[in-house]
Amino acid sequence: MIGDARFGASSRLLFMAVALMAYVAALGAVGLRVIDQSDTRWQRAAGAMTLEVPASASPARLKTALALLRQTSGIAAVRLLPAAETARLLQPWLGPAAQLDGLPLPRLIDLHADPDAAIDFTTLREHLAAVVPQARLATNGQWLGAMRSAARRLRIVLGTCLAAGLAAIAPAAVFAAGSAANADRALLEAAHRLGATDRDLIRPLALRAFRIGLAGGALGALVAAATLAALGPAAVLTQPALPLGEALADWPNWAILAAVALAAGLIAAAATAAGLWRRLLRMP
Amino acid sequence: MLADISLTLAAGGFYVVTGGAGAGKTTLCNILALAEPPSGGRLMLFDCDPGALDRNARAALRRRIGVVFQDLRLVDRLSVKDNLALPLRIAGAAPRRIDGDVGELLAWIGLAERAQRPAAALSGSERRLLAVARAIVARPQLLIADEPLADLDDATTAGVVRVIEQVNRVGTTVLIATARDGFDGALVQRRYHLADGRLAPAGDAAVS
Repeated sequence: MIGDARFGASSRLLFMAVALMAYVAALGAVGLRVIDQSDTRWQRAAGAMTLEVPASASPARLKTALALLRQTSGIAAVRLLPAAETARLLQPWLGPAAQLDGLPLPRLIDLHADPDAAIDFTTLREHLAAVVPQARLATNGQWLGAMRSAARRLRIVLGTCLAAGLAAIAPAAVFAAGSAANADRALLEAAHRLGATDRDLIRPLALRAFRIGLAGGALGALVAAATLAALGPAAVLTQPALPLGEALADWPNWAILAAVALAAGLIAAAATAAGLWRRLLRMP
Repeated sequence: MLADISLTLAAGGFYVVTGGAGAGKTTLCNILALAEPPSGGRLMLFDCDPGALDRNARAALRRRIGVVFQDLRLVDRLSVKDNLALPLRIAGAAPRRIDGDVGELLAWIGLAERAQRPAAALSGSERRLLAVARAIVARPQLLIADEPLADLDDATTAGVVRVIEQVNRVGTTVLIATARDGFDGALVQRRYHLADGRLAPAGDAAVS
């Protein structure tokens, strides 16, 4: 009977509020992971560089350039691409009909930098220019810096979404518990006067709040998953692509969505218990 | 407001406190039922000082007391049966015992046919009868009844008096606060009169 204490109309309000907050929190949580994964990929890509040596450079200069690169601190791997591989890479730009055999193709040197190394590119470019005057060193450093800076700001936004989304569940639950306590005041007061403990009175409502919070959290998380699925194709257009489309194929992201729903239920239950307990303390 | 009250209730005793409106009967009952704390003085219940106990222990003490509140404190949205079962559920009684005891008591007070109806649907006298039944269903050691006979017709008054006297016969200490004293003189151990918050023995009874 004490378990009959109920949320009544405020249960719908709590459910919708939790669903909305959980939606924001779930997008924030999965978004944080997607940004982390992207950052790792960008870091890997940052290590990759290409040195383009003009076709006119002599084999001796090419050899010297290779030796210089291998001696440079922070460069982990140096590979001269065979002419055939260079031709294959250029094929998409030149078209299938292009006769590559007769073209003066540059020689490409694939470089991989140690991720933790701080390479002095200005000095390296100067040394390379001395060996092969028209050589071009292409690095990813510039766009990577911009991307990582954007990722840092995005992390703050997404972290705020996660924290604010989950935190906002608490006042919603306290409000709903207050409404429930007002609506069922007769039962709570009668039960208190007949010897029910605070735990007897709080437990059923907290359990109901947990169920409502869990259901609302699950709805919010599922809508967030649908949003990610819808955003997936659009995210591919960004350069470099954010792996939003892959997010739903990645089971840890489902675990994150489930954790958000569970957290929503637990926060709703805890806030309900705290709110109700404060009210019960006014009874002798 | 009560003043200079000294009252000792012996186990198994039957006490009646009479008094007019505003005499302090409800305050006395609420203090004894732990529904409101005394602003001064000392209250001992079952050899315990309730003010010194934590909330759980005070709740446990309340479970040893059956109370008929002046405003009844029934839960209108619950059925008659569920209202009656409330103290047993709070005490953690087994469902079978709850069904048995509640059914038996409903039959005894003549509300068995209305068991499934909401308490709000009962008449004033039926509600008071239900409140009395709820106060005794868990077999309390102390029964405090604030105006249990108010607004009752003669037949229902006789029924309520019979129920309370029967409870006392099986060992429950009874304190009745009433403006209408209709209880058996042979059973009542002491009668008091409360006026302007002061308790005085009625007739030749002595205040202990």
